[in-house]
Amino acid sequence: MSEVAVIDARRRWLALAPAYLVIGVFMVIPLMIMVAISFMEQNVYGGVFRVFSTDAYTQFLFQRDFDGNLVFNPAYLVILGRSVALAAAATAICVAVGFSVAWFIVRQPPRRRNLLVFLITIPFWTNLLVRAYAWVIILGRGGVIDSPFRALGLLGPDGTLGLLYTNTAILIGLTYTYLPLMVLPIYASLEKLDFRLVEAASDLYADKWWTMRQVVLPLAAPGVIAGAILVFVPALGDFISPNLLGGAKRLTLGSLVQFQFATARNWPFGAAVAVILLVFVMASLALYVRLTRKAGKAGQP
Amino acid sequence: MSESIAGTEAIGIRNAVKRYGDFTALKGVTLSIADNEFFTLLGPSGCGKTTLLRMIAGFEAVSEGEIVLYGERIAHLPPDKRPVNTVFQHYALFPHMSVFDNVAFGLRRLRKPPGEVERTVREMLALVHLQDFADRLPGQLSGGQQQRVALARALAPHPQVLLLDEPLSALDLKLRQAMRGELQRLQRDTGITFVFVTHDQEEALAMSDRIAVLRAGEVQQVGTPEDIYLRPENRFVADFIGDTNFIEARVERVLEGAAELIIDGGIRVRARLSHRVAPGEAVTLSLRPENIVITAPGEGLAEARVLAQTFLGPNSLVTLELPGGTRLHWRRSNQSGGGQGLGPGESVGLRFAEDAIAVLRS
Ligand SMILES: Nc1ncnc2c1ncn2[C@@H]1O[C@H](COP(=O)(O)OP(=O)(O)O)[C@@H](O)[C@H]1O
Ligand SMILES: [Mg+2]
Repeated sequence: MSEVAVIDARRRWLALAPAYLVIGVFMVIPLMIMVAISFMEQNVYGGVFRVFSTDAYTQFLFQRDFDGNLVFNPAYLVILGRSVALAAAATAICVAVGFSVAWFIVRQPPRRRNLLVFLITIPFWTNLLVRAYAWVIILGRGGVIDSPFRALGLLGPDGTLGLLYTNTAILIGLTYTYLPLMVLPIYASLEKLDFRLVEAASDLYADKWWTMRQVVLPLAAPGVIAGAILVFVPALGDFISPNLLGGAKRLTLGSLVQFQFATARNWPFGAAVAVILLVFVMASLALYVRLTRKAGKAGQP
Repeated sequence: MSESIAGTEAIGIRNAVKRYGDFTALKGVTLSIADNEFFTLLGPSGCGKTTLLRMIAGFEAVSEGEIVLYGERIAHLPPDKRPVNTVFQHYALFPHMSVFDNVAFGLRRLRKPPGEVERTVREMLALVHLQDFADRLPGQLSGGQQQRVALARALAPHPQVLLLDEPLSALDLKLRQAMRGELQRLQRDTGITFVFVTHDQEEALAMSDRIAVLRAGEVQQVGTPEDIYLRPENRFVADFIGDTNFIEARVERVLEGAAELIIDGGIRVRARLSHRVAPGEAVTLSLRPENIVITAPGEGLAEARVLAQTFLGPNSLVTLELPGGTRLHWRRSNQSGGGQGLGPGESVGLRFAEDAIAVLRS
């Protein structure tokens, strides 16, 4: 390496130092603390004892029976499964709805397009908690959803469709919360799409569906994948929708973590669940990188 | 059309009107394009060539009128239901598909068996000399290669008509000239009717069986390249294609298919007639600069004085003035041994080549 190159490398390090500092202070160190706590012992009055222990991870899969033997306990695996299923379902719905919305927007004249994109971001202006409570009212007994059914006399003796405090309600909440994060990246990639390609496809006898599948979707794939990650990752860790709309009866990984730290005062277990969540997120990100590499190769003009 | 067409009609455009809001892009176009013809739509930018082509392809709806494809009305059909294919000006190749898949796109949509798809694609790639590029992505090809992929893609389903929208305009001059011959060969080899759009008159003259000259959404003249160049019917056509001299004249005598006219206050000339004129009528004549023949002074039809001379390489453009003040451009060959130069102020005699003067419609 030449001297110039050494100086260059040093300079680059210096220029990037603030970024490394931020990542270190706000990401790496908290993560290390979290991992460390997950390997300590619980202090039932809050906090931890600084003793190495894998109890937290054991607790995720096993429990002690009356004789003190470890027996397999699938309860937390069920929660993990439910979380993944809910996040995946919310992502799938967001892809379908988000793609349609983005497609609709991109087919508008440019000025209306900007307005519509702006409207998509409006929900971010209000506190998420407030919006989640709004859904409690909408879905709940006597809410907007119930009322037409009540007017038609279609409701049972309890006077509600019983939507609130179900998995469906959580799913609605997750979809609602994260849909804009799907629309925006898909819109960004559709906006770059050359619509003459759509004409070229129809010139070559492709109907709308064929054109969608063969031309539009492959070229919009990077946006769809980015949107899927942006929705799936936070949906997996979300605890507001499960707590408010799921009635805190149906635990998800997110609500479980929140419960361990806030209520049960089992920090190591909360941290361990967070680590498990993190592993899932990392795995899905790795998948994302692989998928985009493929899509990126294809999407190169 | 006054033109009679040999063979069956491939495309009939009947009084097609296209309006965008209160702007009328096509003002009642009627054309008849024959089967197996290389037909060119020629006109300046903005005259409605692309619009007409897109109406045939189905991307634009007709505001009025009808389009007939081999006897069937198609104006109501969507693009994917019309057996025509387009070579787009900017190619519009699918960037995520290999050259092979691009060319196979239409065939697969028509549900051809895989063996036939493979065979046809290879055949098409060979036709455009790209057999070794089947696995490349369009982004890995040069402009000229992309252009040929676009051609192969549009030809592969063997459409009844191929539409080409200025397909050569993005290529550099040498390649463009080479592709002219290629396109003609492809048309002949495939037997497909070509409708070719260009604003380049040289391209149109070099390649077409027939040309329709358009201006501001109206057809000005339809005919063979010779018709269009040698017998322009109106001032626009004469001016747009090649260089010409416009000469004011008065009709002296009307003969069978021709007329005797007076120019420059006394010189008597003969000209072909493509329409009716009356004796005494004032008309404009078109005379190509290469159709002036220079003679020794006193030997021609009239005397002229040399005003100026511009050297253009293979030829020079010499400005002459007739005694009555009419100015004419004469295209003089610069062939070696082509005689002495002409200096300004020199006197020459001149006459006009046989059949060289056209009476233009006003
Ligand atoms: N979508 C459109 N909306 C309004 N005007 C249009 C549209 N498309 C074309 N035009 C107008 O119609 C005329 C003909 O356009 P076009 O067919 O593209 O011309 P050419 O291909 O001969 O250059 C132009 O004046 C153009 O501005
Ligand atoms: Mg055009």
